[in-house]
Amino acid sequence: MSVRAELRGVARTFADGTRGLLPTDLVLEPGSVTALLGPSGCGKTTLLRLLAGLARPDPGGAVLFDGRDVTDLPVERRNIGMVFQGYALFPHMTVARNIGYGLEARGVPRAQREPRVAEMLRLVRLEALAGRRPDQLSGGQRQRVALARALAPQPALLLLDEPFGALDAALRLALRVELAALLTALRVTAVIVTHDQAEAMALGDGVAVMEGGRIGQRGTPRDIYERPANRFVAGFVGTLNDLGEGRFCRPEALRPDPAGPLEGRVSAAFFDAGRTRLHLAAPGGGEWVLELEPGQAVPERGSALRLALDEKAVLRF
Amino acid sequence: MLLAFFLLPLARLVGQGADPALYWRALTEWQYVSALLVTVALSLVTAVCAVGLAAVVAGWLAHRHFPGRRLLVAMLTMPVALPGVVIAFMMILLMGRQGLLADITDWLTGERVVLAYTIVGLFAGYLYFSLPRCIATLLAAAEAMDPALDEAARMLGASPWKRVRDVWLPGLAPALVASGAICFATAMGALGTAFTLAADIRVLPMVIYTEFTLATNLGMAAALSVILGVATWIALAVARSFGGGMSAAA
Amino acid sequence: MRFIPPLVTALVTAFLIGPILLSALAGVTANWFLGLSGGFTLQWIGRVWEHYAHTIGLSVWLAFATLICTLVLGVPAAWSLARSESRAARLLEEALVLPVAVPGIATALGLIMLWGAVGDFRTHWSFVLVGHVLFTLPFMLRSTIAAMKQADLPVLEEAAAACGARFWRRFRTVVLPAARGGILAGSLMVVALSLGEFNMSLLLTSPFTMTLPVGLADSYASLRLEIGSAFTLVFLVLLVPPLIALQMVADRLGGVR
Repeated sequence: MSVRAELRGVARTFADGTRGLLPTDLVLEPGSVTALLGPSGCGKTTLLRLLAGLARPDPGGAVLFDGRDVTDLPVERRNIGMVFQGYALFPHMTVARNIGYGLEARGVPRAQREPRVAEMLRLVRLEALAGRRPDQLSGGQRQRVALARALAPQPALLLLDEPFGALDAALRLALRVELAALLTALRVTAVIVTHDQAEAMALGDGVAVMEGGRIGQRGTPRDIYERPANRFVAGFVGTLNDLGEGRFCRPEALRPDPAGPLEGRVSAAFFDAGRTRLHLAAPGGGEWVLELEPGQAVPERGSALRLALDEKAVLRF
Repeated sequence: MLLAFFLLPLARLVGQGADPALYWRALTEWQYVSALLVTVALSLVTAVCAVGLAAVVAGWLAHRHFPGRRLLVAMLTMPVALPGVVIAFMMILLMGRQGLLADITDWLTGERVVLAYTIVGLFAGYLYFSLPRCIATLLAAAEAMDPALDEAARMLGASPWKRVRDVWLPGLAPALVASGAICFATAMGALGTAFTLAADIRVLPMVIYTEFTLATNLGMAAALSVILGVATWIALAVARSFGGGMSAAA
Repeated sequence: MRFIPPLVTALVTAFLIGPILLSALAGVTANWFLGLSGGFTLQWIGRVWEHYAHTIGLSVWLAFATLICTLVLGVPAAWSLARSESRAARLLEEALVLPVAVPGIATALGLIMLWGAVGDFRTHWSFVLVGHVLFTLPFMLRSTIAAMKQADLPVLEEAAAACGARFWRRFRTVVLPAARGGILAGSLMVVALSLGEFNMSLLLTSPFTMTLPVGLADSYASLRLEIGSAFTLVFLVLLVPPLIALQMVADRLGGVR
């Protein structure tokens, strides 16, 4: 069922003249999961709405599904599933009716609807809550209803707009694992919009980092982390230490070594779940961050620390 | 202050018409009953039409941005403060003997159609003063709705009509009921429009006025006022029981 | 299907605005029967002035007096309602729609029956004032209460009190500025409503205290169409500025939210 979706020269200018998205090309392979990552206002939600058909691209741009031009096809005829940022569950309908709504709208008779709704309820483990209304559910449950509703009509393309945005940190983590497993099992072409780099890295086979209305870099999570295309991408997907003269490195490239070539002064140490994150004042006035292995001694604040650098991991911009 | 100038007069009003015989007459004699029925029917039709039209306008305007939108909204809601007499006069200009409608029908068919003093003219007048308030209330309610709900329904493949039924009507229901009730209440008590237009149609406020000034029949005027008030109150109470907070409507 | 909503919107707009333009136009045409070809004149407006100058003056004065009364009564009342958490206050707030719900003609009758025989009150302009205040006060209260609640007034006041401000200073420097927008919107609404009030005024006014809308009805019934139109035009010129101001205030308040 999954589709190959393609954007060709798609741009979007808003009514007030601001450019939401600069002309963009993007191919989503069938069954792939792509994370659109970027700060707010970078155009990632705009791109998602263009894929969905909730917004029209500026003249000249085209959206293709399996090679077919769907630019003029409104959202209701694109066979997509979407999980909205605030979930947008219909407040006066039960969980079951919410989930079955897409089938209902497509004219599927009740007898065929019910088994599919039951299957979806099982998939997201909400069998016991089928008769509840959205306002009687917790945030995590709502999120799962929204997902089940989007998946029930077997969409060719699944779009998720900040699917965990309204949840607290612990729940985000649990649901992230759940969603990753589900997406792998379903093999549906999916796009996830998020501003959380850890989420993007965990969920996407591919990540597209967006900046100022365009895609700054596209690649596997590892590619983007280890070989970022520019300084913005590098800084957005992980911590970056400025070594001076256009040289940068990740925290992992630094380790304490009395014979190392670099020296910084310890300014703070944070203990987090078995690891210690060390902040150092760099000689050039900047700040370096590195992580100590479990069991390594934590140096005193204010003391000088010599560091070794993994030269292979140095990034240059 | 409220007591002296509002509650006491109301009590006095109830007291003045307290003679059961008066109420009996008001509720059995055809001239009064027919006036009550006409008023209720006219107010009901007005409320339904005004809310229906206003809902379409509000649904279309909500979440839609275009140059001149503010001016359009202002034009649609500003007539809220026009008094009934002025509205009646405008209806005369529109549908009276020298009205626009007469000119147009004269040109089309050679016959001058005059509707201002008929029930149609009265209805048009009532509709005129009901629409701005309904539009203002429903527009606010529609703007407060989450646009993602409509988008979600579209994403799931719902037709426009299905979206109206499953998203817009349930979402706007409290505001629809509340503004309908306020419309009904206002129409029930409207004197100004009827004063100028209803030469042949007996609506209740006009009957009260006539009883009071021409027949100087204070008791009957009071009894009819109480009946009018009660009928209005029942409508508002019904609307309240639907859960639409009244204060949201007016 | 898609073109129906914009079409309805256009028709409704035409229905609401058309008659206003029509009546404004009729007020300055020399002869409505001849239409625009008859030329334009200000003579009708002059005639209106001859006949109804005192009526116009009284209405403006009444609107002003009503505003003062609703401000003096309404703002403190709104403040005590907005900060009170008692059930009685909630009930009272609900009851604020009462004067809207009780038909004006009924209230007016009650007033006449109770106070009509007391001295010269019946023929004095203040008798009409009472009716107008009754009718408009709820609008002032609601608008002001809404603004006060939105400004989270109790917390602001506690903060001011914690800074050592006494009651009067708090009221002047915190309460009034916080509710300024609501009071302004309420005031404009009161002026517009008072200028146009007819349902009560028809009964409350006497030949000596005729207000503008009652005068309008009088002119429609007895004088020629152009004078009625001209009078309507004069009325619109009075009414529209507060309404436009109201729209602007509402827009600004809406923008802040």
